[in-house]
Amino acid sequence: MSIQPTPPALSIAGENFGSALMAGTAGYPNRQVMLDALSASGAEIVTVSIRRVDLTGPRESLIDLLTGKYRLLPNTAGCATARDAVLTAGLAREALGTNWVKLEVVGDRETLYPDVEQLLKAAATLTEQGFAVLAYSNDDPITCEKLADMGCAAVMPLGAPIGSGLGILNPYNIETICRRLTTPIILDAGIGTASDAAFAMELGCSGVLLNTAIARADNPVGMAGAMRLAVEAGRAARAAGRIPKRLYAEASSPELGLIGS
Amino acid sequence: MEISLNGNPHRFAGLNLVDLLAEHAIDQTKPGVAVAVNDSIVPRAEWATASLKPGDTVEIVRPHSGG
Repeated sequence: MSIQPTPPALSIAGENFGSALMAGTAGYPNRQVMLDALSASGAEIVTVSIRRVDLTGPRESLIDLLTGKYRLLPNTAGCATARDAVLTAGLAREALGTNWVKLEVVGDRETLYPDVEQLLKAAATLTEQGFAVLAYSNDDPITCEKLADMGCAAVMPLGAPIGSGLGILNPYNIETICRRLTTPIILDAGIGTASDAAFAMELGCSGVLLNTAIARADNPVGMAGAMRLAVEAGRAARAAGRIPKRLYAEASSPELGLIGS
Repeated sequence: MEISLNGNPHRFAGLNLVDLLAEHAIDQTKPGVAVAVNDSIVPRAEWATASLKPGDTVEIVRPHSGG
């Protein structure tokens, strides 16, 4: 039997990673729990936001805690226009020395749904400026295809609204997006528990990005470990190929040789 | 001179961004800080030469927790 090299769990913009899970850094009970949870998750890519320096308060630096251990993926969370998102991405590149950006342009504060018009505009500008754009998108195959065609490094459709924990509300769309595009698809937002993360991978996603599901769990470190296993299990199941769904039963034990026949 | 700093009015006696960052004890030798003046990013290499003028809008940002 030949030994096959183990393929990387995730490849984005020419870089390989050993885990298909990306984790956020917000909302943990404290910094130590965050560090322990990130470690338990197996994630190699973690997201950060870009915010004004607090000129009055203490200045403990998040990147001192994370640099060297993780690839930091800055986001443009909170931006409502292409203009703000492009400026934030530029500031992130300057602050962190990375051309990777998780592009988020939201249309309103209640749903936090992407503003597709502004999102596409920002993605076009940023890809032109040489950014590796990981675009947070609606679970709409056409929008996702447009983002992929622009040259985004990854397209990240939402499973459900950010922080809702509702899981994958439209698995048909997620599967369609994964089937139609060769760009890595990362399920971003909506994950509530481990089975949601496994489901995303089973549907064909290349990875899963989550934050709240770990950070706000009763035991964030325990949930982080569960997410690591879920993503691995879902990826393995996808690779192994599930059976087709049937409407009726099909006996798995042999029909022949039954006693009394 | 009067400038806007991170959304607040700020009286500034220095000349450039190096002075402004030093005034707020921001370590300029470490990565993790970025500056925009009037919505244009000023690369670190230009902090010493980028003179500020009255009315400028300065944003100093850094990575924060995020999802």
